[in-house]
Amino acid sequence: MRTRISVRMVVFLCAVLLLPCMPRPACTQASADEYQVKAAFLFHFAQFVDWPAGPPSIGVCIFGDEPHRQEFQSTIEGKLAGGRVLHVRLLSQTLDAERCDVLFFSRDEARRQATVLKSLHGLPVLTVGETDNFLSDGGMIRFHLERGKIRFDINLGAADSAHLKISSQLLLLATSVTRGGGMIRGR
Amino acid sequence: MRIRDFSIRVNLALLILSTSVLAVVLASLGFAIYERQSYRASAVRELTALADTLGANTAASLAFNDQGTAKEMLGAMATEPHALAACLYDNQGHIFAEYHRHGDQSGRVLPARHRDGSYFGRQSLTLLRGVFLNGERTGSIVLVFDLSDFRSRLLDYAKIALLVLFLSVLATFLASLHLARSIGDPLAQLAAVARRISDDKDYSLRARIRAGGETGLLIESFNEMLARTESGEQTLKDTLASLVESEERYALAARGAKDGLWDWNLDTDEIFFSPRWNDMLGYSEKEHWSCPDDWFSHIHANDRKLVLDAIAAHRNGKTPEFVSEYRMHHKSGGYIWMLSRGIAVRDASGKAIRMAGSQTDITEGKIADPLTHIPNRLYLIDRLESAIDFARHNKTLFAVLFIDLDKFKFVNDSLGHAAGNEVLIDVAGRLRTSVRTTSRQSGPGQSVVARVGGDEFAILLSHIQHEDDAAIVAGRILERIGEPLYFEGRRIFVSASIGIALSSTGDTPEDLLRNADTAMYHAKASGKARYEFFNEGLREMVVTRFETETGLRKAIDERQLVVYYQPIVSLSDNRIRGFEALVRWDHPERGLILPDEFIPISEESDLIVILGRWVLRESCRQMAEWQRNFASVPPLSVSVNVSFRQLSDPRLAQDVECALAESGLDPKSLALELTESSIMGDAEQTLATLDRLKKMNIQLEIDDFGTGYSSLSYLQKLPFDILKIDRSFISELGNGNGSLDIVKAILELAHSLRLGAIAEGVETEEQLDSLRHLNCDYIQGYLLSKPVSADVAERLFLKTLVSPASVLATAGNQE
Repeated sequence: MRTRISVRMVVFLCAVLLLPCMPRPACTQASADEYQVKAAFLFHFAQFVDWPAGPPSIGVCIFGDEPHRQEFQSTIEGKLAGGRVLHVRLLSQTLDAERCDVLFFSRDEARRQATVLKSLHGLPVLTVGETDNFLSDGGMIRFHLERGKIRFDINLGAADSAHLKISSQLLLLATSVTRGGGMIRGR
Repeated sequence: MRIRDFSIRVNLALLILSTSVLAVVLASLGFAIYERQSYRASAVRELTALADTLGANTAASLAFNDQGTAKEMLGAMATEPHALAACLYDNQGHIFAEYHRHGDQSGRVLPARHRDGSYFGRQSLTLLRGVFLNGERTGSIVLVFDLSDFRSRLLDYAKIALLVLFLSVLATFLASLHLARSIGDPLAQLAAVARRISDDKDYSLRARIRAGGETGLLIESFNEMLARTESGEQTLKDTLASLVESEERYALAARGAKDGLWDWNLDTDEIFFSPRWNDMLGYSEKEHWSCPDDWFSHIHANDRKLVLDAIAAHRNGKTPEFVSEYRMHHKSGGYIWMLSRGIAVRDASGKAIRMAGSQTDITEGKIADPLTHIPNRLYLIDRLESAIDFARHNKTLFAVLFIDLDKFKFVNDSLGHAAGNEVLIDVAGRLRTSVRTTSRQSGPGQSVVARVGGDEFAILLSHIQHEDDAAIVAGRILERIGEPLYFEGRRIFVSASIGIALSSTGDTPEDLLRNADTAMYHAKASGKARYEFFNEGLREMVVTRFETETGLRKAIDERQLVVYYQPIVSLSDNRIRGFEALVRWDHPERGLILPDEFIPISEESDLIVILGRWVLRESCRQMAEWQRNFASVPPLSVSVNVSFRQLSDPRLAQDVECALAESGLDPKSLALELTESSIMGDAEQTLATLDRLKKMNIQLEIDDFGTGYSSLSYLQKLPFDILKIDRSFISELGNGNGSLDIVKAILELAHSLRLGAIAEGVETEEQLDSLRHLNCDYIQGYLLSKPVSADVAERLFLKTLVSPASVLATAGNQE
């Protein structure tokens, strides 16, 4: 009994002593490379979305800024999401957009985004952007910063029309979820 | 006290109680353990599902680093009342989100230090599970649950179990009471019955107990066993009873047979004597005899060796059984005769290991006379030995009486043996009452009446002060025996002669008996029906008589006897008509002995027959010779005396025939003189003999006529020729006392019966004259001649032949 107590005591003491030294991810994440986090988010989105065709690999296309491709590639290239391999490509021509599974619109391509989004309407491509009007342009998931932390909103109507099924868990994590201009939920 | 010492009821109750308590406790314990295990398992299962759900729900939060949502989700744990804490960790082990109830910190466990699984604390369950996103672990979740609620549940269980325990104990106690009663009570009752049976030995008792199952079977078996025991007991009792009965029967038989029993263990040399054995010797049963010497020391010294030899012979297997007759000392002082028989029991080697047998008192047969049932000579001698000892030590006096019946021979011969036996039995009784003896088995102080010979009795008369006492008893005996006795309606008179010897006259029983016998002879010789005391003078007399008797036998053989002749003269012609033959004993030392001295002696035995026969032959021979030499008319005759004893001898007629044939004498020349008393009994035998003699033409004369007691009727019946008038009447002739008339009457009687008459003992001229005057036929006596030898008689005859008157003339000169 004594040994058990002492073991518990040690565990307890360790826990108490270690508590103040523990790193707090929420405090440190904001200063990290924004696009590395967004790359990770993309990867996780792939995990919570079901594509109708169920492609053997998931193509993640970066539409816009070349320099961001490097971060995306280093973060998610080759990762497995639901058994499927992620490949990162830089998309320079809009024609290729149909061949993407996930398409990230960087801030640089804001003026072409509406056109591209229009051309992809009904196609099973998860569109992710970061501009304020991305969702109203017909995008599906939009990043935004909230107290230094990267959050996202979801346009469920766009996803539905593209026949993509977004996991409820993802919906739960979204700051707001809209469908056809109406708010389904929000914070 | 150990458990097995308690009664079966207590044991049963204890057993049942302890079993039920144990069962309830074990069941409760098992239930509790099972409950705890299943509770834990279900808790783990529930918590795992919860953790997995939470994990799945928070996986996305983790993926998108959304701590707020994660916390929100963990906060859902607040609806779970037992949830204490929930913590979500990222893969680096940092806490991502957490929930604590009331500030509980128990969930702060570092997942890196623990593997996935459940950890039970004292009152809590901690579960660590991984959080997966698309199969990839993205973090860990820790849930802490409060289990104190379960403890209280367990406590409730325990209370219920205690209640159940109490109820079951109560129930089993009641059940055990009933069970104990249903099992224990019958057994206790059974035990009580068994106890009563063993105490009372009453096997007729039965266990009247109603019970089923094994107990019932036990009781049934018990009763059955009892029945069997009872019947066995009964059989045993019956056997024992029959054994006792046969034992008693044997004991009664043995007692009835008056047998004493003995059983001798030869190994231990111990003898068992039956109570009767002691009793026979006059000892009580309390006299505990157990060794052989108790037996042998009581045996008469003279018989002891005989008995021991007989026992040894049988022990050595030389005789088929042990049989011995011996005397044993009776407590009263005397000896009794015993007949003992026994058989040895032998072991395999043939060695005798045990001998057993009986001892019978045969004194009765041994010492009693079978006819009169009074003691015999043997016993008398035995008693005399004791009496002699006693008298010697105590200076006392006793007497031996020898009693002989005077006319027993006559009774026996004339009336037959049956009458003789009757007389003897009667006399024995009279003697006993005269002496007033008591029991036969008596001490030295008792008188004894015994039969010692054919008609001889002897009496041991003890404790007399003086010889007069013996005389008084003898007188009383004579008186009693003199009383008439009756046999088949006839009166019989007997008398006895008694000889008395005082104890001072002899040292041995034989001496005393002989002395008394001697005195008896004297009494008999002195006229019979009287008693005489023994004295030393008598002894001499008897010695003389004895010598006479032996001498007489010798005399016959050595021809010392001679026949003398006394002439009988006929008064009609004064010639000698014949001679009376009279025997004389020419003793080589004592000279001529007259017959008075030896005829009575010879008459006491067969000697008289021999003697008489010789006299008869000699007389016949002499007379035949004289007749041949001197013819006369009428021829001379010879008269020979025949005693009573000869007459009763059946050979008499034959002897007479022989003598006549031998001598060639004419029977008419032989006359036989018989006394009146010898023919008085008129026995058949006597009559037959007389008839036969008469038919031979022999003359028969009645001797000593007038002295007998009997009637004169025999004179008519019997074929007599001549009557000899007793000398007592003749000697009184001329004394003027009536003798003349008697002689005259006798002569008239004789003549009227056509009998001749001879007057005996004629000694004087006056007597002769009287007789001549009374017309007497013949005379005989000293006036003519005393008995003379044959030579003298012959000369006398020759002289009278020449001158008949000279006989009478010379008679006086001869005197």
